[in-house]
Amino acid sequence: MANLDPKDPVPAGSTENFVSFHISELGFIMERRHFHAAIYRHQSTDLSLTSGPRSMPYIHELLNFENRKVVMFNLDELLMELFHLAEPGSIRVAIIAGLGIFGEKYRDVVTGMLDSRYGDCAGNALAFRIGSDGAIQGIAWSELRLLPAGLRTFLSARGIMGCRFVGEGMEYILDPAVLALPSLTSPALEVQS
Amino acid sequence: MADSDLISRIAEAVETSQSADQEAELRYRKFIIAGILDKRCAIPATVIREIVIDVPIHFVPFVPPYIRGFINRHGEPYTVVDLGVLFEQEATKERSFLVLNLPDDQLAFLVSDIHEIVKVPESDVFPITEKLEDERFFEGSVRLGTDDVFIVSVDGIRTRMAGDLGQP
Repeated sequence: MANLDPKDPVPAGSTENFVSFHISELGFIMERRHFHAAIYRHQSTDLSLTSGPRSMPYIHELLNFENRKVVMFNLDELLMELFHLAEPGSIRVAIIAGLGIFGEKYRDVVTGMLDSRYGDCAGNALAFRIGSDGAIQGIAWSELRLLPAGLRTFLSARGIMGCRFVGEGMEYILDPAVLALPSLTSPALEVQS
Repeated sequence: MADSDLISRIAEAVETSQSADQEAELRYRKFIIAGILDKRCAIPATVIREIVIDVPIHFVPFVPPYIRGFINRHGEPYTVVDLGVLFEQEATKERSFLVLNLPDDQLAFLVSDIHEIVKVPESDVFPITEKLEDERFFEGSVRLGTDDVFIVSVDGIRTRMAGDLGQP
């Protein structure tokens, strides 16, 4: 999770690497340390062409990466819906994270859910599809802003951790795990009920 | 008359004058009269930090419709509350913002336009004593000529926000 808590100070002038991308005119950044690989023009398997009870929100493809299949979560599709954004360009970027990003509390739940539906895929990783201009960018902590106090807790519980102003525009700081978690765990809750 | 007596009397006169000024000031209140769709409302001037016109609103998801997003004020995000949506369930098309001066939050009201700043005698301000459900956004009214204009309750709006966002 992005370190914007004033109780947890960072040295003045220090920078952090972020993955940045845009969808339409809106920018998003996520901490680089969550991810261990990025792939452009990836090869993938369309899940609509496969059989079995695999349907999950925002998961329509399996990514072919280093001779294994990785479940791909369409983060760009979720953000387009949430922020009412137009479809980005056709060239897509996928970034791959370990399931440790879900924290101890939810890692096993997500692992179990993916394993039950995508047992032939890597069980310790999840790919996130993002906007086409994805890049790693060093950003000074001093450029990042906490959200106003009245909305901070509410939005951080939904994956929006802060923001940065760039010229006339704005970038939201995202926690991809928190954003994706409801989609990844709702089938588990349905099964339990 | 000794010099010390003169100084004492001057000091007393200054004190009396200042006290009178303060009492006179207390008998008046300043309001910003803003248009909210086709109605007028009064916002206590003491809670307003600045008036901003025509800056972009950055949309944010998940929140109730009356929270339109954020504006950038001096590099800091301020939550934009659309008083048109809150009071009349109709979005404000114009871009006039009243940036609030709050110690614990960054909040701005979106209104249709700013009419005037008025200074009215305390006797023309009428607080609402009964807390009816419909009146939670207003703390009273102020007499302007022959009209009574509702006074927006910043606390009431913040209470509504906290309730909608699941916060105590």
